[in-house]
Amino acid sequence: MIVEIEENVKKLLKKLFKENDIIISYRNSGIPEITTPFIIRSKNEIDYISIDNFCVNNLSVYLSKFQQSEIRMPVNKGRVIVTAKPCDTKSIIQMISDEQIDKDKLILVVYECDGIIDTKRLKRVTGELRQISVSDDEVNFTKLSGEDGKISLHTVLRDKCLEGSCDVPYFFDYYFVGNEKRFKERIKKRSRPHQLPVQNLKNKAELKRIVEEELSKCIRCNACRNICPACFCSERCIFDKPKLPVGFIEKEVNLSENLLYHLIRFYHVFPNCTGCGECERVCPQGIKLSLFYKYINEILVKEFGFSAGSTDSVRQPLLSYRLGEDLV
Amino acid sequence: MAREGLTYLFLCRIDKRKKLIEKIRNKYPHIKIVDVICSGRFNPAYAFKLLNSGANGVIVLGCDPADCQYREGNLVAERRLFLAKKTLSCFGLDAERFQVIWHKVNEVNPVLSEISRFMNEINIINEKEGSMEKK
Amino acid sequence: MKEIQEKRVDFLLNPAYYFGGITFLFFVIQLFTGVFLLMYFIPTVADAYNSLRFLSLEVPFGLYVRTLHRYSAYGMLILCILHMIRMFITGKVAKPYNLGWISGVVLLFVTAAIICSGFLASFDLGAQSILYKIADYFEIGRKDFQSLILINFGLHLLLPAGVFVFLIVHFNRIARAKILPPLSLTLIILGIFTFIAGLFPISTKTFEMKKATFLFEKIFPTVPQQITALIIFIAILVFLALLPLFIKKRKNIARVDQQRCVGCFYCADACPKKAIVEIEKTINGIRQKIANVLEIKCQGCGVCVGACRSAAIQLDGSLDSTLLEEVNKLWLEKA
Repeated sequence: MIVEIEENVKKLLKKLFKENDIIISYRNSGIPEITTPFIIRSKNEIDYISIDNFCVNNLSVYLSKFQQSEIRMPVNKGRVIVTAKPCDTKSIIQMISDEQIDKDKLILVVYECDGIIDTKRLKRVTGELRQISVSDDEVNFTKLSGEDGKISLHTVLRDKCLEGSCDVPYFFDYYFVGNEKRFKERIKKRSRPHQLPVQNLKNKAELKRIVEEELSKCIRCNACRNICPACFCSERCIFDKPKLPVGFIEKEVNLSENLLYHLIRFYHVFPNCTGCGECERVCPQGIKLSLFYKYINEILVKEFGFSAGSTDSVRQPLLSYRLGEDLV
Repeated sequence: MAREGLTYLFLCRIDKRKKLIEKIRNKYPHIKIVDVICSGRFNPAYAFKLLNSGANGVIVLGCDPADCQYREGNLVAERRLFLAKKTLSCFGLDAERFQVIWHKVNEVNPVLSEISRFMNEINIINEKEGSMEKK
Repeated sequence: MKEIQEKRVDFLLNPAYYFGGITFLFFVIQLFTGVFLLMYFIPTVADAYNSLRFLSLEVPFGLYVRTLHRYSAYGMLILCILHMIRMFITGKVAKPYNLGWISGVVLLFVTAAIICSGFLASFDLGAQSILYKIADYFEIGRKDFQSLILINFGLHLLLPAGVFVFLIVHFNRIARAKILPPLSLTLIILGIFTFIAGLFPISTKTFEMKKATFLFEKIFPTVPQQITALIIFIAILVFLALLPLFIKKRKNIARVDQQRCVGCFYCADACPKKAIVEIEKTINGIRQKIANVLEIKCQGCGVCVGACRSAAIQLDGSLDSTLLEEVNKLWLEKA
């Protein structure tokens, strides 16, 4: 990651921080290739922030007021300052459009990210690591055995970064630009038209087989639901069977109930999904959720001209209708 | 998956469609009729649950765009039902088993002909499935 | 698309839908014509009758304005009663409409009182005949008449203020935001009304000192009968005002479970009547914005229930759980 970005962000945060504010950013966890979310309530902790190529979490999930975290935006008297990558701002903007975030209390500090490394891909090449650092396009690492090594950054980036979903965000309060030329190159890469991978499978029997295979693995841990910014019902989710005596799904874990769970979640999330990919990343069973959620946005763009997370002044298309539309 | 042979018909304004319901009950005893007050009340999760448990098909009968008693309930429902069909096709379930039809309240015969067309389609799908399973 | 627009236009121009609005229109006409009459009327024993005679025969359009004033009074009373009948038939008596209904009954009473005082204020032969009879019955001297006339006229001016006050309560409790009918309908009604008033002006025969009697006096000639009629009238109104206590039938209304609402307002956007609004509430120690249903505007269609993702809003007559139970039962039934 470009070192100046981290320094500049820290300088800005120290200037902005007031009493009662909360900063949501990243810090290194101690393990070289893992950077975790970091919630700051006092000024001296700002120095521990680290912004690098391992900041993979979508921090917008901590902003929704009902998430099981200590941050509740309306209660907190101060503001919330978030350091976000450009791809994460889409989730934040979509949540503002759905009235889950109070825009006045939010300060959005966007920094241009160099690309996030996919640790699984990295470890296939390097094994366990003792130390790792990135400068420009080179990754320098020291294996646990002591060996040093060097690989190109491009080979270990995650798919999402290779496709270049880093558009300039629709709104921000501060925006730190790194290497402008590389940024433009990355945006250019996104030239091919997308389509949901499942719809590419023309053979329905094949699709059915894949779906059954993947969803049999599901243990209904609800990790995908908990990490998803578009699933803002959190503790009020209908799957937790509240006072309704008869709910929509049962607690059993079998293919039928798993399929029902995923069907209903997909249908609920459809208009708000920005394709951040967190659900697939956190799944403990490694289910290929990107088959379903990766390019949902494209269907809505084609039918209704609506792209989730692009603007907060237009609400999602399910809430309006056009006369004379003959959809179904 | 063995199909249980039951089809579900969710319709609106049941008090004005009494003739239609009688005819359906006589002709198709295995179609179960459920009253939703307006087609906008219908939550596609019901359809998912039924199709997942093995229902033959689910039909939603709503009113013509100009005919809704509650002004715009059916228009609001249309996009929702479109997304529901997309969801079903993304997960490999037969989206043809979920059908939505729009008719004026007093129309009886057009609705019956659409329902019989739907039942024929379902039978074809069932046969195809049956022959595939045997393989 | 044309189909839907035509249907909407028909719906909105049906005059039967606007009985209340037309009543209000006639009230406004009465206010304007009343101001005109006020400039000429003199509330004394000697001059009440003569000022009106002067106004009707000598002032240009004087008789026309008097005609408008009287006919709009009739119109207001008749339409008020029609409005009440329509509200009763369409079931707008019980909660949440009870305050609107009661204020409507009070408005009917006040309107009737204004019309009575209006007739008596003119102090023409008919009014004189009734008033003298009542005065003799209660043994009030003729010289106290001046104060009585003044009191009566004062009431005729003050009661409309009472109408205003009760109208504010009444309008606050109705579902529609617009009070008058749409512009085209208003102009049509005004046109027809002014035309008819021009064709049938009120009679000036009473000025020729012939004996004139009110219809009311013909039906109830003696004062005790008049008092009984008045008491019966008030009793009917009191019974009508108490109707909400007897009629308990309620329609389906949507209700928000505040513990489950996430504050996304999908329901508010989906509602065809715009009956869902934002409120701020503290729940479990957190101040948040949640949805609230305006009971008066809710038509019980359930489109909000279909839009809600967290099953926070439910319809009284058709809960998600009951629908699911019904579906389960039908599933177990087999063929």
